[in-house]
Amino acid sequence: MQQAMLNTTELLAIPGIPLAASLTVGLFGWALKERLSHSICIAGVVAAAALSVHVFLQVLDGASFHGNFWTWMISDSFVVPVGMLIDRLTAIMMVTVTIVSACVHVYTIGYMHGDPGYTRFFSYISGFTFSMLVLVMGNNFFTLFFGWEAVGLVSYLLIGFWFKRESANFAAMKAFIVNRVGDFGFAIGILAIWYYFGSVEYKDVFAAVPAFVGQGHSLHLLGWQMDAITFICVALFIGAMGKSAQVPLHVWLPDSMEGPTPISALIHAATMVTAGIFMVARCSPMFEYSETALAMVTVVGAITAWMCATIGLVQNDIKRVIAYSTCSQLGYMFVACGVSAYSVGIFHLMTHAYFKALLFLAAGSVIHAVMADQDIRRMGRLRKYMPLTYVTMLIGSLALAGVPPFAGFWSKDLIIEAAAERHMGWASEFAYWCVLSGVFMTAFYTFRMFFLTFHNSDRVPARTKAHLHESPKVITVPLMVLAVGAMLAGWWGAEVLHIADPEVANNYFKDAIFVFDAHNPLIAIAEESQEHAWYHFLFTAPFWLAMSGIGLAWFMYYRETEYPARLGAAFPGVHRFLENKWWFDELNWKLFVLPARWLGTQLWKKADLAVIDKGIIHGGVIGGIVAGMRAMRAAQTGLVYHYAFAMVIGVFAALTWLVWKG
Amino acid sequence: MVPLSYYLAVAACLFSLGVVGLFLNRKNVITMLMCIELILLGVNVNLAAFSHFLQNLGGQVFIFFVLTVAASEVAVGLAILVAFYRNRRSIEVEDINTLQG
Amino acid sequence: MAAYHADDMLAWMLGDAGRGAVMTTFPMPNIAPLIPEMVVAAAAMAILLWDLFLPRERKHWSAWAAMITCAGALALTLKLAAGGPAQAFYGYFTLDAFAVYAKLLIYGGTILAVVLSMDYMKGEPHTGEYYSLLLFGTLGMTLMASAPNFVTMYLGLELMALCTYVLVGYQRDVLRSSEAALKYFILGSLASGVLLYGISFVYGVSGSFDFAAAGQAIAHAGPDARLAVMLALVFLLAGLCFKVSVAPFHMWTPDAYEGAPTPITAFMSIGPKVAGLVVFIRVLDDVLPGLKADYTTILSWLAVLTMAVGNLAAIGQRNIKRMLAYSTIGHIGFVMLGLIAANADGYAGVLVYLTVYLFMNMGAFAIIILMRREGIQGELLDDFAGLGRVRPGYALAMTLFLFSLAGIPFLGGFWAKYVVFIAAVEAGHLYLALIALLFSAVGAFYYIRVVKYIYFDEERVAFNFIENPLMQATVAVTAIAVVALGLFPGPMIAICKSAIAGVI
Repeated sequence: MQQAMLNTTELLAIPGIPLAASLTVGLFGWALKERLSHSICIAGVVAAAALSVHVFLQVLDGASFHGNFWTWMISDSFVVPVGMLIDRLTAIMMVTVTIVSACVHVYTIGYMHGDPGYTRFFSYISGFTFSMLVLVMGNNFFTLFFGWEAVGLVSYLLIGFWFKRESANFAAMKAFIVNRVGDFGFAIGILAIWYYFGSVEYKDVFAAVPAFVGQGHSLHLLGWQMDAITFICVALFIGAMGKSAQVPLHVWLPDSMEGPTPISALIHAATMVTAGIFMVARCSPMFEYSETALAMVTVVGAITAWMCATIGLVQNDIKRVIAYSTCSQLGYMFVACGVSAYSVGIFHLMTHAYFKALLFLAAGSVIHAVMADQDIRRMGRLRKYMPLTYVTMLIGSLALAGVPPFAGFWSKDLIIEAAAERHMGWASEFAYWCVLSGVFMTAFYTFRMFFLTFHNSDRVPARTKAHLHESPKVITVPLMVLAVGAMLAGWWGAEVLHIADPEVANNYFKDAIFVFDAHNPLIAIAEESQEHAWYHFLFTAPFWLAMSGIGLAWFMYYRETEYPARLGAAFPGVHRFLENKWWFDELNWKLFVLPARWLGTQLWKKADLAVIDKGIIHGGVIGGIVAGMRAMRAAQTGLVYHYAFAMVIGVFAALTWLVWKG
Repeated sequence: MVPLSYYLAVAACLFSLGVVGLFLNRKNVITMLMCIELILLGVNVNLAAFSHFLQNLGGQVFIFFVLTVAASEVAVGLAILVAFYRNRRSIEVEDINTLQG
Repeated sequence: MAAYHADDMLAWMLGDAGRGAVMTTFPMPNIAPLIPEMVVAAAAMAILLWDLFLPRERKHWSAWAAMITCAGALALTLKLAAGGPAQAFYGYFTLDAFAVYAKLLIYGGTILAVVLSMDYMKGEPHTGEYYSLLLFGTLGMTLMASAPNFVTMYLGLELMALCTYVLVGYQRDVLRSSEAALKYFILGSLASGVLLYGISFVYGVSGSFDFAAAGQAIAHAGPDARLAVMLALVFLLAGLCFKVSVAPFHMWTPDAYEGAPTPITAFMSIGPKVAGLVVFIRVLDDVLPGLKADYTTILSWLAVLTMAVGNLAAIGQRNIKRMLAYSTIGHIGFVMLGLIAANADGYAGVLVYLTVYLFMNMGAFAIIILMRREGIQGELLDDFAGLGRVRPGYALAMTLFLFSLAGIPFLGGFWAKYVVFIAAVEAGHLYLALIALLFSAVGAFYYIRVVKYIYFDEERVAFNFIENPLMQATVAVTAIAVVALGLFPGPMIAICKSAIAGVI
């Protein structure tokens, strides 16, 4: 098929403009002053967003791009290409990244106003946008790796942006070290690809995969035999686990909330943390050939989705609730990829980017209003002070909870169906139950947070009260833009782009993602959905689970406060129903909610903090490093005869080994 | 005739005495300088013995180089020691300990 | 008793080339390839004298003289090298492409060290001696680089070592400087003793001090010589490992680096390492080829230990010189992968690594020297706090150097690591490369922590920078080099490969 080529200059400009803006502001920010600095950065990102949309429209018409701009001859055997691969997968990522980034840029004007690091901050987020674009637009594993490391770097720097807080420094260090673990796996995966395929370009590698699998390469690692392709996929996925915060490497993400809120929205919710999902989808031609790796992706994603949702139930920090929810939703996306519904994973990535960025920015707006307090126990009844934030946050919450027709509903529903339809043994079975029960918890914790913040009793300290106000326009306008995304992205993706429909001719990801028909759960879903009417969702479990989650949250955090009278007047039927069933709710509370809360607390305190955080991360990785550091420093006693003795021991050890060996 | 291995054993003893002296001696840096001399002498005995048994002059010529270098090494070493003594007022081995970790 | 014949003696002294001519004429040894070394030696002595007659305000002319000498010697070396490989003194001195490339790095390192010294040494007395010692040390290194023979190697090594002992303790009134010198001296002497003991066994097995001849004899040594061969192997390795700071022979490094005047620390982190590694490669490849299986195993263990020591201990440091000392040890651990690969690719990787290391390390030291806070040299990590706001240019350059040292992609340091890692993998040391990858991940932490200080912390004490255009130019040049080598590593890698190709 003849495909139109995209304009190279335009493509280069998309990452180039934010980079130029970032460098200009980074180097000359002191001279440009605040106004000019943010104008340059915002103009750069908006331009990139406009160009991305333009590219996206062309891609929809069948255009694509693949080419190298430049090749580095490193040695005869190894060439690093610098090029771009623009297909539909890339295009949707570009649009998502630049639009969310543009919103966050504008928002930052209001949020960081008066901060001493104002211009620096703009330089960083523009730089981040550049790195993220490189990550998604590259046509080979090296540009992927470059973008991967660059976004990671900006992320650590920005977590520690408020460097005077000890906790921020610690969180940055933790993010760094945990991500090292993941990046280590990722680097090994890429080296293995180069080693086995002799190329790092996606095109060459993916073309070679079927033949490669046919040859049955395997390797022995620590006495364990493994398919080479499984090894590569698992190594890459370990990288994704670090970057996309999957259990047990998720511990850095909640702590990363120490960073300024625009960062949480842009990097730790909408874009960077989804790089792992993008990578898995991009590498679908490899993952498809490894059942083991797919099962691993599914199970890890399912555990994360479920576990982080339970932990979200008991958090009181508004940003931490959303952060755990991010981990959980990333788990959903991995489940989608694991059950070979990559397109659904990417779909959820896109919808999630809008509504999660929205939630974070709205939370930031709230935090801004209550003078940087993040504890939802000291909020309440904020609705009347900040109506715009209230409405946008409600939209975000509905989208996250999966209520139709908001964005999250479309994509999350598909993930659950895909997990049900893909029959890959216990892994998909397990994942199905995890993601299904996760829906209830997601709805519950989202609306618990929502009601505690905007409704319920007024618990705002008097000192703060005078300060309460709606945020300025630079904050509310991005919220509204994202709210539109959170409302429409799902419908648009499913009904206009037909992202998930394998049968429809203009199925969105036709070339970008490779799936075996035998694996593809979407085929079964499409067949079934032929028979269903549009209101079919009314008969499905996820919908009712979400509704009951919201209902329970409403009941516990809204209804049970001094509002009941007004609420009863507004909804007499529901009110009477609940009033009469009071005893039932008491029972419900004792039978279900308390155990759930207990479980959540236990998982958070015991499993998450004690075992994974303290045990594995602090005890194992950081502890090991620190213990090693102490040992090495203790050996350096400063006494010359100890030094001489160490040398003699070295000589003796080598001699002994040689003599023993003969 | 004395076999080669005897010479080598003597050389090994001298060398080991020097090395062991370096880390067993905890009193005085001057003793350390003497230990270093012993190490070099052990090497020289080795070279001389090999030179003799291989009927090759190279070893003996090399000894002269070693001796010359050893002499200049001690000169430099003593100078450094004097500088250290001026700052620290001690040449106890245990006192060379401000740099560590 | 054995009797020595004058003929034999002369033949030995003159080598095979002289044998036929013994009776008739006394042949003039070919000294042409040695001219650059002679120039350096003469200049070093001249500076020593000249300095006595220089008025106090013109003492810094010695520095210029030293710099010009090195540049001239470098130019002469390159000119001589254009005529192809050459030998002098009947095979006691060789000028092959490998030696020439090493000398390029050594002279480059010395020139940069002189630049760094100019301001640092301003107040010190006897600057002439200082530069003279630097030149003599450089002479020792170049001799090592050109040594095809244990005699030349030993003399070069001792010349270098004696000069560095003195230079480390150059600040006579500073306790830590003289302490560092004393420690370095004692351990260095022990190490040369150990090395000599190894050489004596090589000689005992082979009857020759020539690398190639000894290697032949060792490869064909009978089983009864096995013990002597093992002793030779272990003691040679131990002696050489000391010079390049391989654990557990590394322990002098942090103390000497911290105590030494900062320009000397910079000097020691490049030249001696280059010279030591050149000798290491020649010894491994020429003297010990028959023992490849043994020495790769020993070196693998030492490499793991070295990487662990360097990268772990660096995390706990507060003094940046000490941190960079451990960082050097860590980098040597990575460089050892090239030695362990034990083939042309691996050795070329070593040269690539050293080339990049020259720029990034010298650049970092230049920034350290440029930073003064209230008259005191900025040596603690805290001293970097707020640099990003006060001097964005320096901050950017330092960030580049640190990122490059950390091995972040598309800076020079990345390719340095890449080349040696790949060489190790292709030589069948996959596990070693994985361990190295792990440690380089750990190591990145302490470099990036400094970047955090630079950009995220606020200055507490006012900066008081040295304003020296030459040093600022050095910073700029090294920073550009680090970026350029990162973007276009191809030519450098090709040159390093061809430098090795003719020799191995």
